[in-house]
Amino acid sequence: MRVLLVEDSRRLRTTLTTALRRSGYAVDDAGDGQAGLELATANDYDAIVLDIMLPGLSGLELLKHLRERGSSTHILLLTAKDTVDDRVRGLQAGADDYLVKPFALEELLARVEALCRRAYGSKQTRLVIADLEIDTVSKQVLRAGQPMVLKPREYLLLLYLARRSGQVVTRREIEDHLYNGEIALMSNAVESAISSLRKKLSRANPAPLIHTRHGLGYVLKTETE
Amino acid sequence: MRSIREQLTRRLLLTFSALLAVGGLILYISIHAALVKEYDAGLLARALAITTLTEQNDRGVKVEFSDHFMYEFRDRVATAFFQMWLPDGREVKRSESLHGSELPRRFGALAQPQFYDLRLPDGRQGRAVGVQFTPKMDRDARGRIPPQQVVLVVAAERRHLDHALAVLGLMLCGNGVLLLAAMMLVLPWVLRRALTPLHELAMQAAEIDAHKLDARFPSETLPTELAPIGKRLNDLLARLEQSFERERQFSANVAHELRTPIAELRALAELGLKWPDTRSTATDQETLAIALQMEAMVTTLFALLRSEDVQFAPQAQAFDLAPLLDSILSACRARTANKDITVAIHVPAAMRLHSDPQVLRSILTNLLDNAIEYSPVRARIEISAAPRESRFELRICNPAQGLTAADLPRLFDRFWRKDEARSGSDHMGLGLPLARAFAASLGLDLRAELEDEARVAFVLSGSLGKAAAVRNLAPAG
Repeated sequence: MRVLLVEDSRRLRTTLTTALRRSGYAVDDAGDGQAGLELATANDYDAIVLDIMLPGLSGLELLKHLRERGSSTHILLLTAKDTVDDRVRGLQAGADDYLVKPFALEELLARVEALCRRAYGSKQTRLVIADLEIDTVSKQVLRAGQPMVLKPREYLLLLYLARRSGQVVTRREIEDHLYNGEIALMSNAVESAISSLRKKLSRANPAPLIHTRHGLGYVLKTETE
Repeated sequence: MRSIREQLTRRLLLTFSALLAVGGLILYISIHAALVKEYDAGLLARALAITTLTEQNDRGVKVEFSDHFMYEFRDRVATAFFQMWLPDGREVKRSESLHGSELPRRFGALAQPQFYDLRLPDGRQGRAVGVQFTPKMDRDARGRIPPQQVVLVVAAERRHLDHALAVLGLMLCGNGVLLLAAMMLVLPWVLRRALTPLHELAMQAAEIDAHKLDARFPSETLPTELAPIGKRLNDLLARLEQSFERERQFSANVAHELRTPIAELRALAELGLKWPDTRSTATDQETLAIALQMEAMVTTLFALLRSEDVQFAPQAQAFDLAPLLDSILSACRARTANKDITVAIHVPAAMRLHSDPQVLRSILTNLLDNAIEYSPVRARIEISAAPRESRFELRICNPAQGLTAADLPRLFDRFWRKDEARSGSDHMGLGLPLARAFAASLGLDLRAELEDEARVAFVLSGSLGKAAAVRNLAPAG
């Protein structure tokens, strides 16, 4: 999942970026509105965490620009203002959610996750594909009823593929949403992660779930689909 | 609870009763005196009539009295009495009505007759007049015998007089009671009507609370006596509303300013707890920096509050300005070096001030701090000071790109910054308000002026005549 964080407070930006990355998100960050707008227009994000009071272009202006350009990326507004008017103005401008500073880190992560779920049209916290079950709240994965032990990145890769089950997901999309440009162009990190995931999935049930579409990417589905 | 209406009613009734009693008494006494005087005149007229009937001749004094003409002296009627004596006490004549009784022998000269009350022989209350006079002399005896004086006392019953006086007294008392009762009925109603504007004012005042400070009293339509109260209350309400708004804005600003550092602190702490390996010296240093930033904000806010305290008393003393500016500049050296900023000071070496050096240091530090913060890299900050006639002026001038004339009045507002985002910087928008508050406490004026080439000048000035103002003394040393 790829997230953009636009926050002018350097300290908060650094902390939230770390927390989001640790939670498995690929995170881009910007310290002002203009840079945020450029990133948001150039990339496809699952969610944007946007501070309202930004130098240069304000968060609300950025939001308006994005909506005018037809972007439907889910946006969580962050602000130190907590009056009803402020909230209404933010939501009317096209925000999907609103969080007032100071906030609990867990709450921010939960809201970002909810927005990412909505990005894939799902409000469910439990994804079931054949005998694969993913609980996005407890972050538990079961295959044929057997619990699977996954690394955070593997979990996110599986979740990303599961949310787009039946669709071909390109290597580039996986890199963008999971690795945040941290891997070199010729790296085989995606392939390694897919391979590791396949091994772990086959332990409980050898029937393959992740299929390779050569030259295109990967798709998660049952054989019968 | 004391009620003005009740107090007024009570006091007006008491005053009215007293005036009524005094007025009634004066009226009664006047009428009483007039009636008695008239009665006495009647008595005297009877006495004078008898004196004209009295004559002296060789045989003595005789009274040519006829009951036909004065029937009240008759025995049957007996409403009047008279008795006449010679100076030696021998009786000359008495009325039939007296029978064997005696009248008191009290008298005055004819010109000054003596009137007095007495009990009549039949026991009734009466009034008498006693005169001493010389009877007319018989023509034959004139010149042959010496004239002789006689005493005459005429008395009459005073039943009618007493009755008239009693009726008069009763009428006055009755009227007084009726008037008092009418007053008791009418006065509360009149007062209620008259005090309606006061009541309405009280009702309007009762409806005002902290949420309705925009309410105003209609001072134009209030009665003359209440108009100044209404106007003063309106002034107070306006000041209160302004003060509440300022406090509300201030509280909102403080809350807003504290939210970001608290959010930073909380996020850092929660990150460390959730992923302990993310905690490092760098995050601890960030935590410390946030704590110091919040401490600075609280310290500045307290300083602002202190400067507004009426008991804040600056300690004035004479000191050189140039060394003070050098010392302030030294403290900022690292920051000016970071931005490659040049600070030029044009202050006469001999310039001495008479003020509180610590407070002035705070003012100048804040102004210089502000100039460094908002100046671009490689900028030039000019500090100049000079005495001008009875005043002095100290200017700190720095580039201020983007600052407009409309921004000038807001520069000294708490938490105001040109960039609403207030990001990145540790500046909280409290330095300039604090500098102005401190300047005011020293009796100085601090204002901002836009200069050419997008520069702003902060001008600290004061009158030499003010008690705590800067005083330019003789050159140092």
